[in-house]
Amino acid sequence: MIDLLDKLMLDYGFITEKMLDNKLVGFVSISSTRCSHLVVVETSLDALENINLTCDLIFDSLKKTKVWKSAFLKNSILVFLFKDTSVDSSYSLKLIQNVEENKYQFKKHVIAYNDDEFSQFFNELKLSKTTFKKYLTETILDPEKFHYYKKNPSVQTSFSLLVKILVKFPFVEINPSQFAFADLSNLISGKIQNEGLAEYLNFAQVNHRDEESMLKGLVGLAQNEKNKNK
Amino acid sequence: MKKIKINRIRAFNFKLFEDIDLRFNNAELVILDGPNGYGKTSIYDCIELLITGKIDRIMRREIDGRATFSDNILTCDPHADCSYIRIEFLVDDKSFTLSRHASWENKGRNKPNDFSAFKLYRLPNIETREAEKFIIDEKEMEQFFGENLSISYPVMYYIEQEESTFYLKQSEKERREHLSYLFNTTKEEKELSLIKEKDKQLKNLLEKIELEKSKNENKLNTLNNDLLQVTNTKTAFSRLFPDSEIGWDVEEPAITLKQYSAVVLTELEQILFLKKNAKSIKQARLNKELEKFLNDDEVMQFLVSTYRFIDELSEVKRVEKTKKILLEARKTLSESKNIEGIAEFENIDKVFDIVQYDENEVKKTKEKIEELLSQKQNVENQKKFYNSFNEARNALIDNFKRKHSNEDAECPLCGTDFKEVEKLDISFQEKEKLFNKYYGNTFKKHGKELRTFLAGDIADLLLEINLTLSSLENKFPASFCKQLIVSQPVIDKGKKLVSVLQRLETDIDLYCFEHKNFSSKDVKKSVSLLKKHLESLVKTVDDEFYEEKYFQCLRKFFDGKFSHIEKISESGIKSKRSYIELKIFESQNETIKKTKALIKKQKDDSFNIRSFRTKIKRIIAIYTENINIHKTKIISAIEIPFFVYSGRVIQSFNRGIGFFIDTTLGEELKSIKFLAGHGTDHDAVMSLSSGQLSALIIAFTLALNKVYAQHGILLIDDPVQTMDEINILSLVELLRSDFSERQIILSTHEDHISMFLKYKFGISGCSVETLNLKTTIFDKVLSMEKLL
Repeated sequence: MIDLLDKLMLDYGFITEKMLDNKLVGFVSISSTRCSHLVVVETSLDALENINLTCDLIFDSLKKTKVWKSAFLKNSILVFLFKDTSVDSSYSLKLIQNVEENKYQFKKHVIAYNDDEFSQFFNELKLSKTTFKKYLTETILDPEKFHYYKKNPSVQTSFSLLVKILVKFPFVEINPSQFAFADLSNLISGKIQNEGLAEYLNFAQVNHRDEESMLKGLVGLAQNEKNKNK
Repeated sequence: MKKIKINRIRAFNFKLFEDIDLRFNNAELVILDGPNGYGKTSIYDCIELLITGKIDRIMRREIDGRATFSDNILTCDPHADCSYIRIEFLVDDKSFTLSRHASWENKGRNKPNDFSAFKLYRLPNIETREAEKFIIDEKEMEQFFGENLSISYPVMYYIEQEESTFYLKQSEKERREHLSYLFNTTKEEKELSLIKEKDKQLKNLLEKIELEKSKNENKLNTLNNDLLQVTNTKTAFSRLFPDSEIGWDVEEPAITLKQYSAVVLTELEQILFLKKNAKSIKQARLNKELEKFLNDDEVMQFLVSTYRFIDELSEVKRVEKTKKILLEARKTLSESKNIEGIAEFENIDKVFDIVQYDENEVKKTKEKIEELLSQKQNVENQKKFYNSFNEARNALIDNFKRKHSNEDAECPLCGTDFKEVEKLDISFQEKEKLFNKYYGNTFKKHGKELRTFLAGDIADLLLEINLTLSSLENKFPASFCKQLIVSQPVIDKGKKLVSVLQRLETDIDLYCFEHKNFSSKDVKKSVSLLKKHLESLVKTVDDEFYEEKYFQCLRKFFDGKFSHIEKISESGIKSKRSYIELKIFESQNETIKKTKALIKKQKDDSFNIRSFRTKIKRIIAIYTENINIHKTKIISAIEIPFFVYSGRVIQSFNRGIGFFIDTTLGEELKSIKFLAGHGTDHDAVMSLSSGQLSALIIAFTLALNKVYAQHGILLIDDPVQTMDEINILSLVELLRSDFSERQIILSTHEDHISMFLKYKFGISGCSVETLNLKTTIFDKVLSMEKLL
């Protein structure tokens, strides 16, 4: 997973460097054009439970990298890759939320996944024979896949992992199709006009003062209809 | 998408701006900061008004169309004669300037939602002085910003999340309305609602008409069944009762009501019956009257004994009263043994008056009574004194005897020594006899004078009383007076009987006493004779002639007099009946005609409503279908970017993943919900915090902008009011990555957020311009004022 994401960084023009530490498996990537710094780290339940300690460790490790800059302090986003094997998913979800809402040191994201999800994702990416970036931005806009996911959000598929990667990596821009905003009023009035119902619509929109005036109006409409038929 | 930027804004006399000139210096991010209330939102109003010709958030408020306001909220100085907004835009480094200019020379009603005064101009540059000649048509705006701008602008170019957050937190109805706003279908949905309301009104009206029609059809059946069969249709009008005012005896009687025409015909039948059987009905009425009297002995007794003297009733009452006083006086005077009994009789003056005593006699008698009363008082007083004196003397003597020996003969009262006790005793007894004699004489004298008074004056008075009583008795015997007074309640009945007898030419003198001295036997005899006579007048007639309706008819049309019946003829009655029947027939025909016309109108109305409802249902279908298609298209176009953006901005919710837009499809798109997608079908709006809701609205609008934007200006008004730092950071990342092609004009009231934004966008190579509204505009104005 970490290697895969390393490729993604390259696709987006990031310079990446592996973090060499016994306790950490991850990389740091820097985009000079965006001035974005990402730290992606494989993590465990224990590490997430002790998030402040984990962050200190990452911080120390970062300092040892070649790409280290003081701007890291303000501009780094930390992405934890967490292979969730826990039985109690509600616990890990709460833990993830706790980590993501922890506002000290880094802006943090957690991508939780399992082996099945990853292997499906990996295979599909391989089959697509395209770049990771293209695969991501095109697949997310596939309505069929999206609607399946919408109906079954808890089913873990390659798409569910794709969604997580896409949401957690803010630099991944999506480019949906462009449309013109329709003038609904014109559309409706055009159809009403075409079907010869404009007069009836006008009548329906008049605020008649009493029933008699309404009935008189209807007589007028009926008369007009007769005249048209002549 | 056209890459267009705002480079400079000038606003004159607009809202709280007297005259401002803001330069954005071709910046990609413009941050408007400064405290609340210094015009950040008004800058957005300037841009919106210039581009769309209106300010949507003001337009959305419901304002009474007839209201007039004293001031104009769009102006800073109410006396200035114009307001304008000028904006210099840049497209690929080429600039063009548009202006909205409003002249206030003709002041209107100052309605806040009336922007018609702001005309559109394209100026050579932002400093142009004579702007008027550069007026352009609204349609030309499309070449710069694309089509349907006034519709799309407020929903996709301008993020005003505070208001949306407010509406989404309100009731289901308001939420639905606001979602319509977000999808830009408010106008059409309101129209649809009004059309449906009209259809409902017509449905109710149709039901009402159908019900009325059914009633009228039943009425028509009844009218046809009740239609009179008239043979003579040429009966001329003539009055049956020329001397009376009878409602139906006129040329055009008002007999449209079925019940009334039946009454008239019945009355005519009764009149005819009365005419034909007048003699029998007259006898029946007499029989009824006579039977009433025959059963009333009191009336008969009155008639026989005292009818002739009813004029003397008041005199009799007075005499009876006098007699009563005299009888009372006689009893008192004759039975009194002492003067007090006479003196206490209170009516003594009335008695003197009745027996006509002269003044001297009255005076003399009264003085004597007074004298005797005084004398009696003296006797009483002496008696008291004597008794008291005697008791004291006897007590002294007894005491003396008890205390002194039998030899002591000296008188304890006068001190005389009688030498012997026996002599003293004799003296005591003689003295006692002497006292008794003295008192006895006084008493006897009074008794003698009283007896003389009673035998004299009082006896004379009694004689006069008796004479007067005797005279009154002769004039008004007691039995007569009693009978007359007893008869008082039946006097009216008696008079009626006399009137009946006189009508029958009966000589009542045969039965009424001429004198006042009669006995009960006499009365009984005469009553018996009168009864026999009355019985002889009763003649047998059939029961039908006794019916009250004929007597009522007689009273109503003939003043109760049989003689008046003679004035009309049988043929006249029959002719009147024919005439009335003809009029009823005519009236029935008229009602049938009207009812048929009404049923026809109701059928026509019913047909017209049904036809109209068919058309209106089609209109409803067109509206519903197109609104649904519109919404569905929008949802389909934006749901994926919205899902990704909402996930990025609201990362703490929904497991860090985005929101789905869920629709309930039916005949119409019933509801739109934001679903978290983890097994719940509850709208996430219900459980989101204010900050999360703000982020949701921003994500929605950004998704709309991403898909539909035709130009690159994106306005975001104070997005961080309720959002926390994490959300803000996420929003910044999103704007930096997915909206890097836009010029973003963002406002915030918090300095540290302003600095953070400047930093984050700045380091990524984005040109940033920060304008503090307080220092840029208001502090400058203040310092200029100081200088002046």
